[in-house]
Amino acid sequence: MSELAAAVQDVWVTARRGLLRGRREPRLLALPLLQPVLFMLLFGVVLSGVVAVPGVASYPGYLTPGLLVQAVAITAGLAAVGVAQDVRRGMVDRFRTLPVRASAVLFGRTAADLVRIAMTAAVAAAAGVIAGWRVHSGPAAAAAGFLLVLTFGYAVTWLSVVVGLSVRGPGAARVLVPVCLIPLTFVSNVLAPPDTMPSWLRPLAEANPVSAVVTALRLLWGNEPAGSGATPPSAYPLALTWIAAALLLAIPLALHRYRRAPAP
Amino acid sequence: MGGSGSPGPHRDYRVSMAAAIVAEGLVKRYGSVTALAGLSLSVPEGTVLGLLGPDRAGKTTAVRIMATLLRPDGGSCLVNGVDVLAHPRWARQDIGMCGQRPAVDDFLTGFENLEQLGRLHRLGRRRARVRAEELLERFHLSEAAHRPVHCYPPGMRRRLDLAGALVTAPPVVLLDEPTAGLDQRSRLGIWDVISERVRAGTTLLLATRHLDEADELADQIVVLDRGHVLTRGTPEEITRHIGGDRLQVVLGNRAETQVAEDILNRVCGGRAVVFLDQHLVQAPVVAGTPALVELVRRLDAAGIEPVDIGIHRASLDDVFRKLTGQAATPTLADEEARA
Repeated sequence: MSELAAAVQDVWVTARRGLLRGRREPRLLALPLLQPVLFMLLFGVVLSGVVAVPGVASYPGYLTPGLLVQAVAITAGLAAVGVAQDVRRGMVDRFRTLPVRASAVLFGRTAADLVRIAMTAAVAAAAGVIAGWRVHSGPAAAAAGFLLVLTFGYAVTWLSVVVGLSVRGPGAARVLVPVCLIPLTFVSNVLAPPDTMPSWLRPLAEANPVSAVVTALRLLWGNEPAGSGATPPSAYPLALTWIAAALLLAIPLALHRYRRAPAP
Repeated sequence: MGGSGSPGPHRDYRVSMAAAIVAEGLVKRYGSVTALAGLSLSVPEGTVLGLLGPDRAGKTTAVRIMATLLRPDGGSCLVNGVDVLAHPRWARQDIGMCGQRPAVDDFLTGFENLEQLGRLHRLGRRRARVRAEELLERFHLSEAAHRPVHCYPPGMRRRLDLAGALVTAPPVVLLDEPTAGLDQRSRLGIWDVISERVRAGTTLLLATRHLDEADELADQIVVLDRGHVLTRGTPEEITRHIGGDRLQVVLGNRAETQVAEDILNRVCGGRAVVFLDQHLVQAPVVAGTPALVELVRRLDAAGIEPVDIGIHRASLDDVFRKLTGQAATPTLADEEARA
């Protein structure tokens, strides 16, 4: 077997492990699948009567791209807990004593996480449609939007893997992930445009990578508020730059941490 | 990815050597703590080396270095002729390892766990499945083969973990406290498996804190304490050094100690020791059980009813008390004395 074929097989075997885990432990899918529905119910339905975004006719239409990104980020964040569990249970040590490349193990693992992210995105989109969200662009732009969401989720997964390999255990990961993701996803344009926020908070929300991705999505799907000032030429490279930077940072760092994973 | 030395059909990093494991001057420090202070050892092919020591002796650090999981600060290590520091991926082909905790996937079945490891060892799907079934049968796990591992009791989990380390029948197996947390029956089961592998020619390094385990399984024992080698030798040499098993009797009445000492001297052939403050009389013994029966009979004939009577098995604590004057599991006073 060539090195490449062997590496592909290793990726598949470790990805299958992750997929089987999702199937055997349905509770792992509870948060990824319920969270977007609950958030849509809370923000898109319960609060929609009191929220008015300038230039937006339908709040669920504005909200859905943001909630989709948020849901995907939270699902991707769960990878940190899974990786920390693998370290604690000795599975990382076990894999490291096999003649398998670190990259094969981690790419396999993140491939399985990507499937969960896709499921989250599908549920969030379905919840948005039920609440009144619609895509107002063509099929290519719609598909590009979903691809952007998945790429963003994949980048967050790798960052989460770094976290999972760096913390002391799954308990620490369970605390750290929401502590990072809640401000990252709420101090952004997910729920409201940054220019409606207090002046001290606005720069943070505008500089937030989540805002860049959500803006790009709204532009791709025709959900950007009228007169927001966001234009495709500037919004797309910014979102893609953030995603590429995250991947370029996280993948080598995760491989480095994996090779130096502590004893269980 | 895990170092140079990619396994491939046209490369061989092995050097010819008589010993399957050779470690020279391994040093590992964690900040100001020295986990290993120049450990050297050699394990001839097809033998078992027991690495004996209490917690924080450096056993796990040594095993992790040999298993390519940890880089030492100094020294060298060859496993099956491959330098594990220079060519870790190549070395991994010849090494099976079990850590202190069973590394098994709870949500997979026993069969899936082993098949997965076989495939990651590049056995191919069919061979991996056949090998998984063979191992499940050998480890008496066939009935539970298709149950998720989270249903397995600790002994079965450990057996599965050990089976996982043997998927490719590696020539060298490293075991870090393989019977930790197991009941006696499960321990004996694991010992059987280990003995069988050694009879089949596997070289084994067994890190343990149990003298009886090292005594039962090892050909040679290295006693470690805080990264330093305290002593080394065959189990017989170590046990002889500390005096071996002892027959002991605790008396309810201090006045009976003289009679009990005489009886123990007769039963054990002399060398009885009296600890007056504890009402305890001890003597080294070789044939423990017949001597114990004889002791009970003679004490009864003398009208002595002991508070406690039995065979005191030599333990790691005895080794450490003999070698360092302190227990293997340090008391607060020991810690203060060492400081």
